[in-house]
Amino acid sequence: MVGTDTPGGTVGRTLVLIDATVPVARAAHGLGCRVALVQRPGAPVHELAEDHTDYYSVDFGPDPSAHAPDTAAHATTAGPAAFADFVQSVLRPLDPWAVLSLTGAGALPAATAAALLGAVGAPVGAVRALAAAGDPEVAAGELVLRAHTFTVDGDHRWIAAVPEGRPAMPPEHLLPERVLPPEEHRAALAALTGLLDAAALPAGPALVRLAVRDGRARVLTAAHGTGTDDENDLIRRLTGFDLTDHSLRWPFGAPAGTDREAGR
Amino acid sequence: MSRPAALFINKHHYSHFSRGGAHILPTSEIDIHLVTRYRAHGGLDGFADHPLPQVAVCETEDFDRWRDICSWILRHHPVDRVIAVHERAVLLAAEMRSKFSLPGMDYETAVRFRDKLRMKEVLREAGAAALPGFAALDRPADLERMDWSTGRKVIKSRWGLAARDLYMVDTLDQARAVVADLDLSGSHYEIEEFVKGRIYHCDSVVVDGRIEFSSVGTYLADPAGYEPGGIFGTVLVDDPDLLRRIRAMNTAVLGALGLRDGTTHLELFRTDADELVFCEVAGRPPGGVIPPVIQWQYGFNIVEAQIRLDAGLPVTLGTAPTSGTCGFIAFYPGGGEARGIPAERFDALGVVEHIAHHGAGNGRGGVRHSTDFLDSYVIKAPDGGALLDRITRVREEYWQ
Repeated sequence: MVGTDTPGGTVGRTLVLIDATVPVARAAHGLGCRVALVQRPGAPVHELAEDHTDYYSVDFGPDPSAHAPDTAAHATTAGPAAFADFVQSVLRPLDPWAVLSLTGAGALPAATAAALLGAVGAPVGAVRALAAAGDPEVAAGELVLRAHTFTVDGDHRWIAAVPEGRPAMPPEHLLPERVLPPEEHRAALAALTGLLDAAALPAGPALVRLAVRDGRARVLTAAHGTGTDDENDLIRRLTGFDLTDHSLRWPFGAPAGTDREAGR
Repeated sequence: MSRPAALFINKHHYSHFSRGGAHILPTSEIDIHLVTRYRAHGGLDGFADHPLPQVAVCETEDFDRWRDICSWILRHHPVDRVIAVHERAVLLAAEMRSKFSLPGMDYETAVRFRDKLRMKEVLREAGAAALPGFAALDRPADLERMDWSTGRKVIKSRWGLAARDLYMVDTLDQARAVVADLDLSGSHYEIEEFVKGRIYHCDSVVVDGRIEFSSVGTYLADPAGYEPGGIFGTVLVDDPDLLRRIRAMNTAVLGALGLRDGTTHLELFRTDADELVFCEVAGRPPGGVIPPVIQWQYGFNIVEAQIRLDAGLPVTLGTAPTSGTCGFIAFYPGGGEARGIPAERFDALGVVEHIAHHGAGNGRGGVRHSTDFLDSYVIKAPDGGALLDRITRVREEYWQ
């Protein structure tokens, strides 16, 4: 089931959401499904959980997909083996339909859990491939863009391009084809498509930092997930595309409706 | 070096652990992994004021779910204590201690405090207290084993609490009619002789096998008689001879059941013939408004004492009792909207604390259990007679 988009709606199903922010948790509760939150210790449970939310504090470690035995370094936290045990003994009885995360920190734990449970989620390989991509060094004169993409059935759409370090701009300045001149737009789009194809990301959001200069574009960093809540809100207001909502709904085959076709 | 840590299995409103602005969880001394019930059921009430970093929130009516989560926490975290205050959490806490070889009340001991049949069997073998006639009720034919010439019997859940799952029957035919609607499989029910008499309770703190504190009170009403518009309450007992006799029973019972560290709530009957007959005992603090009464009279919180004993921390039980005596009266939901005591009347009535219970009642005008109060008033007075007078006045003034 991993990585596939299965129709059927949200009612009666359980979504496990890992490392949610308060706005993302609120959006998840609006889906109409049962919601279980998995958060790092110290997260504000009283702000995240609603009336019947299952909630678990788990220190899901740096790479819970490793399935390595606990080590001394994990003596006081839940290490990879502990996370796998958590998935099997605590999450499995919930019979989750999907396990998702919209953050870079939660992406791999979510993918790992989905794989262990046979639930809908991003493939571990795709999440790892994105996390390993790029060269983060920025050269002088390069424009750095935060490229937000959303993938449906392997079809990648470039939703927004947010120039890094610049204040909010008029709507057209988030539209990739408006932010970049044609030549650089084509190069950036090719870099994104190449990356996402190579990672074999079948569905969901990605955040890719691109460096663009002189008609060329290259990947600095990439992650399966969305940007910050403020960034998602800006994109929603200026482009009409709700990244948070789409990123939560895709496993249920009930996208909220694309307000703007972007990309390819 | 990491701090000690404890798993806290909680089935109360989280706000239950804050009183008068003080929070009684020992978070400055230990790390606490909290397993609590859904927000809708109060599991996170007041959490923002007293947050904990390690939290699990789940459906606590599902014991398998609870067990899965607690076991996972204990398998993968350096937790060496388990805290439980609510009756329905005590047995699981003990199960976890036994499973993970942790100190505190083990499973076998907890069963003796939880299973009303096993409890009385142990006490009968030890000769620890006068007991009502009783028998397991695992099949309808077990009813025949009782002597029906002696009159009324009580059919109740061996694992019940707060006077729920309890049925009074006067004849064998009535009993047969009751059990026809019960699922007797799984050894969940018992039948015992009804004992007519006033109900007393003895609440204790046991440290290292010694009863370091005990308080005796008597109920204003039968706990099984809860009903919309009704009242409940307790007043502390100060008759020296009665105190001595009840404490003697309490000592014998706790000794026979084998509690090492913890708090207890024992109930007994005092018959018209002045005989003391054991009813039941729980291995946890008293419920309802008895803890505030004990705190007003003796200066310590018995719920906090249980938490600290479970956590392996030292307890302070206060010094000598304050002067006078103390009790409470509580009003169940139902009976009318025009109710309540204005705060300006508290001093004149001796009311030292009013507790407004949120979420009382079943939402359909009914009362769910014996401690399902809407309003409670803790009352102090110079002596027992004055206390009963003040309780009567509160009861009269409550209905406006």
